[in-house]
Amino acid sequence: MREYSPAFLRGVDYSGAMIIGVLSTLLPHLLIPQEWGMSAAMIVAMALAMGSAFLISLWLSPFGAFEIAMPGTVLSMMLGMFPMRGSESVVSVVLIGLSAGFLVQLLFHIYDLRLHGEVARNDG
Amino acid sequence: MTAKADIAKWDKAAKTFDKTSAVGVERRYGKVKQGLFAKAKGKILLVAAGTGKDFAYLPPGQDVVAVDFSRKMLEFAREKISGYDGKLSLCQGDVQQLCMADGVFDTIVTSCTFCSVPDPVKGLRELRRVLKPGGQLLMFEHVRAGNPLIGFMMDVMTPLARIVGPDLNRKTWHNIKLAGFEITREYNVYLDVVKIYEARPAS
Repeated sequence: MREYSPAFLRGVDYSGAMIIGVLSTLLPHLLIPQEWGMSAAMIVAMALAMGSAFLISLWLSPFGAFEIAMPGTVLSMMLGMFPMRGSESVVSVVLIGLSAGFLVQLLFHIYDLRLHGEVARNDG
Repeated sequence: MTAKADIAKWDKAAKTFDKTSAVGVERRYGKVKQGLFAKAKGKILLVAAGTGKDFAYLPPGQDVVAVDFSRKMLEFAREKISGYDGKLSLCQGDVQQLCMADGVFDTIVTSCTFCSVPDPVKGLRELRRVLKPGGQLLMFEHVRAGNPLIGFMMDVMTPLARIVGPDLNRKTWHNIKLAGFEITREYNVYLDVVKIYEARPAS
C-alpha cells in the first residue's frame, strides 16, 4: 500500500474541508430560491451541505476516515443553518466557504494537538 | 448470538474492504498499529481479523489465532497467511461466544472491532475469559468523542453509519471496565476518538 507523508495527508484534510465549505455555501446559494421561507431554506441547505460533506468524505476516505468527515459534518451543519441566498456574489460565497472550511479544520487540528497522546484519568 | 444480518453486512463488505474502508485507516495509522501490536507475545488471539490486513503488523515468530464471524472476510484473510512469518491459523467465530477454552491466550489484539460487536460488554467478557490471568489486551479502536458537541454529532450519525459499517458512538472505555479489565494505558491517536487501550484482567 502506498504511504503518504503526514504533511500530504494534512493537506488533504484542509483541502477536503475547504471543498465541503464551498459546496455548503455555494449549492444553497445557487439552488434555493430567495422567496422560500427561512425554515424551509435552512432544512434544504442543511440537507445539501450534509450530503456534500458525506460525498466528499466518501471520495477522500482512502486518505482517512475521521479527519475529513468530522470537521466536514460540523462545517456542513453550521453553514447549512445560515444559507446565503441574498445578493452576495458567487465569488464572495465561494470565499466564505473556503475560509470557513479552513477555519473549522484548523480548529480541529488545534483540538487534536491538545488531545493527542497519553491520557491520564483520575476517575479510576 | 450475532444476528445473521450483521454477518451478511460484513460478508458483503469483504470484497471491497481492502480497497475502500480499510485503506484510509492503514495509511494514517498503520505505523501506530504496528507499534501497539509489537507488544503482542506468546499465544495471540487476533479478534475480528477481517481480511487479514493486520497480519502485517503482528510481530514475527508468534503463535496466532485469527478469528472473524464473516466467512467471506476470512476467505480474503486466507490469502495473506503465507505473508506472516510465524504460526497463524484462522477460525470463524463470534467474539460474543468464543469456542476457545478459558485462559488460553497471552495476548489479545483488536483493531476497530468493538465499534461493530452488537453487545460489546459480552464480547469483552469473552475476551477476559479466554485471556490468561496475567495476559494483556491491546486495542486500537474508535469511540464516541468526549466533547459534547462532537459526541452528539456522532450519536446522530450512528444510525446512518450502522447501515454500511460500524457504530460511531461506542463508550469503549466504560465497556472495558464493565467487562472486568483494568486499563493500564490509554492513548489518543486522533482527537479522543481514535484510541489505543492497553488492559489486563482486573484482580
